[in-house]
Amino acid sequence: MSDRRLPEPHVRDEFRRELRARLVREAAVTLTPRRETAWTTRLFRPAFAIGLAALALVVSAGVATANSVPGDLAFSVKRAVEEARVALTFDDVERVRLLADITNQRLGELERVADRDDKSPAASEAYVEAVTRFRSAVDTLQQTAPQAQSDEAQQVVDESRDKHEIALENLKGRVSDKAKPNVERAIEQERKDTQNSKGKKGDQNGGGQNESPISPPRGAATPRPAATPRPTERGASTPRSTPSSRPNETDHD
Amino acid sequence: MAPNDPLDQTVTPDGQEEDAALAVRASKGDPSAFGALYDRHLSAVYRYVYYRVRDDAEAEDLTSEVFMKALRAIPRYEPRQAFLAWLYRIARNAVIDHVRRGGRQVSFEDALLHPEVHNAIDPDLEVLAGSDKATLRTALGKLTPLQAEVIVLRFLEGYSTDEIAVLIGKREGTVRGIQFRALGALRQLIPSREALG
Repeated sequence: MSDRRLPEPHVRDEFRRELRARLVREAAVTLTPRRETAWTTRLFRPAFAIGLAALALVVSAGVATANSVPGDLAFSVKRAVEEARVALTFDDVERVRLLADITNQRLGELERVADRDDKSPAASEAYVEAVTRFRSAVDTLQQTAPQAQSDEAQQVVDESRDKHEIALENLKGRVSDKAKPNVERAIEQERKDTQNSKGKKGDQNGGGQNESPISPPRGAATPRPAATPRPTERGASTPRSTPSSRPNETDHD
Repeated sequence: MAPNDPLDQTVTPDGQEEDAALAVRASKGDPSAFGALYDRHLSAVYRYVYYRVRDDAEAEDLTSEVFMKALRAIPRYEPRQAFLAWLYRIARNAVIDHVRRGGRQVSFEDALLHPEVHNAIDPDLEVLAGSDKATLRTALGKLTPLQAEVIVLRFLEGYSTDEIAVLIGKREGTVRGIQFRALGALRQLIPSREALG
């Protein structure tokens, strides 16, 4: 600094002392010792940051997967998770419920992409496939399970059908041309199933020829109302399991 | 921050290493270390703010504000930077805030009203030393604010070029450039004695 300069202003001693005392008092409160926590902070801060980033990645991947639709890259991950859940569900009725949920999920996805030419064909195929699998599981269960379980499964089927009937009718008007055949097939099958269900209820009420007041033995064909749409090749040709195994069922197809 | 910015320069001798050590201790919760830093730099801070406001009471208020801000900010202080440079920057911002709040700041032209001004100016610097206060004041008023600030800080208040660089947030080379152009302008604006005689 140059020797020639304006003179130093005088700092009052009282001000100097008072400000110093104030600062030291304030420093004792403001400046908290960090030594004790320094090593833990140094150690855990990067780990915490990495963990947080990993969690964010997992959550965002999870959200992306959950929101994926057939045709998306993440959809295969979603399917793999669903398959794992199905494989780990050992109760037959619970498995049917889970498959019904998956079918609902596919229908929801189809509704979301109904007007998109690039997505709706895959979505409608995925929906048809899920319905087929669901109904196959219902068939198997109703052929082999006790009456109580069979009834529970049927309740799941009826609930799903009610939902799907409405959703499919709504979809029919706005679905893309490429996906229309699948949706129409599903609607047609739905209609047939509803008729089957009504016919069977009529049989039950009127005491149909094949109806027995006693529940059939395990393994025998169980009276089974119609299920949710089965618009697949299987659904189109063999609406339920083989007719020979279901003597009580009246086929209106 | 630019690599050559004086605020980013590594610590050099002249007590800066000691400042850095005290600042580290203070940031870890040692109040006496902050007290020591205060003792070392109170005069410099007070001097800077006093010449900005030319009022003892206001200078005391601003000085208190500067040290209180420094106390709160010291955990974030980076020891690579000279502690006094860091304090000067806080002080400059405090003066700017003071003016924004409606406070008074002495213009750089009015710096020449100080009774000791002619003792402060280097007699070898003819353009300044050879002029009367009124002429100098008028000429200073015609410079850009930054040029006037550099001239006052350099030739009246006696700061070195690198200190001014810290104070105004420019590189040292830039400060020299501003100073060179400011003196050139003053030579144009202030008629020489020979011309007047």
